[in-house]
Amino acid sequence: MSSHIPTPTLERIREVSAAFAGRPGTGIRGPEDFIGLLRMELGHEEALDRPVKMAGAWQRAAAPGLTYHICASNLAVSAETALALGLVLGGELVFKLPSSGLENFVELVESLPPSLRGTVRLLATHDPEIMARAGAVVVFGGGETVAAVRGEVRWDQRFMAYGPKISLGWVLPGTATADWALAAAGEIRAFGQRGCLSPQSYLCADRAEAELFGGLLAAALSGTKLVDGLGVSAEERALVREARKRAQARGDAVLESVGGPDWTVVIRNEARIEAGPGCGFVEILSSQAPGVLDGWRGLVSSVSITADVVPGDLMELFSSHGISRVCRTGELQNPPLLWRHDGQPRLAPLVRWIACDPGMEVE
Amino acid sequence: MQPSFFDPAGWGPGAARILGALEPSLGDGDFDVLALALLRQQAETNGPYQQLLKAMDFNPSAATRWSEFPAMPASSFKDVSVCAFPEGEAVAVFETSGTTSGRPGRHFFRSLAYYEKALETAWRQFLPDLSGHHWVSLIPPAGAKKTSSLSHMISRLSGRVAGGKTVWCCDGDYRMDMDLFRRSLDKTDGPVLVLGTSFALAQAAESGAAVGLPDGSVIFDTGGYKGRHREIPKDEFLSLLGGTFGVPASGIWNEYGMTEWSSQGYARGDTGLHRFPTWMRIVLRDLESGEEVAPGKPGLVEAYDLANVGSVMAVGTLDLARWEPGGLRILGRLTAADARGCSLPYE
Repeated sequence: MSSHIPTPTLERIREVSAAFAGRPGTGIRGPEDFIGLLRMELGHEEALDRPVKMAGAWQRAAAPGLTYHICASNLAVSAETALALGLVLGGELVFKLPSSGLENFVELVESLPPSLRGTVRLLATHDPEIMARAGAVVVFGGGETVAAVRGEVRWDQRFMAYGPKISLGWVLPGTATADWALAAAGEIRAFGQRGCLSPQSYLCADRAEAELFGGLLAAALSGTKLVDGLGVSAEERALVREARKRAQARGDAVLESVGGPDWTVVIRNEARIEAGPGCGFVEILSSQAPGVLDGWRGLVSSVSITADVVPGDLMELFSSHGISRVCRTGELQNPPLLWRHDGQPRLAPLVRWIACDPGMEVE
Repeated sequence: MQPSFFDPAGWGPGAARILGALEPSLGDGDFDVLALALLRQQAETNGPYQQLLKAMDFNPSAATRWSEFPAMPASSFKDVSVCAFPEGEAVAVFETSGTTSGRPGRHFFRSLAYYEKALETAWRQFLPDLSGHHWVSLIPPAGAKKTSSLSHMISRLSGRVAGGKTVWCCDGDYRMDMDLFRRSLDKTDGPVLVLGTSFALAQAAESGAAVGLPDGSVIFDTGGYKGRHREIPKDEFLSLLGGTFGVPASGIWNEYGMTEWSSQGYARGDTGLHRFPTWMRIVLRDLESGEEVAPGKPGLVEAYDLANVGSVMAVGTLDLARWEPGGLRILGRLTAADARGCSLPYE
């Protein structure tokens, strides 16, 4: 961190980093992450506090006076990350909670130090009047939700939307090993497989590798448990039961936990990606042909691969299909804060800039 | 040589018996016999169903009752050809509306005789006599939407019940002609039957001023919003239609059916309870255990439809319902997320 007198932004960063330390899934490791994010997106970590000279001109960024968030009900982590980013930007933050509540998130807000807590307001129901006063609107939701909110946002309000996505795993030829399967099991289990970073399918090069990896993954899943503390609802049990029957009717090989929906590995005959019901339900495909991704263009968030080095052709393939992140297998649920979520900057779209023409000075 | 009761290579005398059984007079005993025989036949001749039963270690010949047979998920109709006959012999294929997964479910028919008899018989059994009503449809005619079971259903009924004099106010792309719709309602003196999906009816109601329909008019709602409109709670929906068209809840009928079935249930708006024809059984399964639930408890709907001769008689859904005295109350639907993540609606 800077050694000189902390600016308001750096003060907030210190407080937010302390408050969010250890929150899984947010990618927040410490103040350096936020400083790096500010430098990457705003060009300077003090751009929100004072004019800074960039590209030969004095420029200053301003955060929205009020940011209105609409939270998704599946997981708290997206709201938590939005909260952290909003607190760093500054201004008043309003979060409309889902009707089912968002217990972990509410607890986090209540535990914030007073200087931060005082800027956050939680709403149980949508308030169009408050949203109309907001300088920026951030929404997490399905297509219908995003479209409905977009319809209410004025042209002069900043708007950011995070829609429905899935994530995938990519098993490079010759890497179907027990270690990679164990890593995959971890990223499947995290957050109860409820998030957009939860893998739904693993793509293998051919049938033999798919069967090998599927068997290893089944063994790995049978030795792990769901990691979310939410348990499995009756509705999820029913959805898993249906998804298993559907796979069986297709003639796919179905490896499954006995006595409940704890985990399911389907080795598909058809190279087709589909979103599953969660609860450790994952499908193994026997193809890595580019066409497999075609139906999901723009709808895949992240891909984990069984390597530390990303083959150049894969990077091109993923990029051309709108995938915004590649990680090592096992790391899907641990995105870095610097990741551009859904391929878009996290802070830059929310701020407004004032700049002096080059050659001018600021008193 | 005498063909077996259900000849796997053809239809045999069993098929004729089923056609004859699609009557309100069908008794429980006859249903039990025919249903068990048909399911055993389909377990032999319907490849995907055979695969499902084998994977579940289910022995059809050991089953003593139709309800022991597992249901094929309706979603399987998107994956495979759920046919008890060679697919190439189909005379009609009805498709579900597209979903975000992009692949419609397909229901193959080797003969439409069962579908049509089931449709007409149940309509005449449950609905009032609507043969003298002026029919106005917000559902496209079959000629404009050949793969829609709903369009086939309404066109068939129009021809058989109303003498084909229906005014069609919706084209094959589901574009509604509201001017024609309003003019058709304005110019009639006698009672009207308005037919539409929930989405179409809600849109029609919200599209203009109230028009009080003549006494005795009926609205036929086939359910469904197809993701194009925020779903309206049932009470609000009935109030909206009542306020716009002047039709009381007792004159608003709801059809509960799906492309994967050949038969339908019907409910009058003031009760909201669906009743089903004698050749169809609804079993509700516990979400947790999959076991049949007792009356009054909610469960997932599985239909055992004797008219599903050419596909599979037992079709499971993700619809949640509860038996009440007088019929089946539909409670909602489990949504298997088409895409995970930030996909749940805000309220």
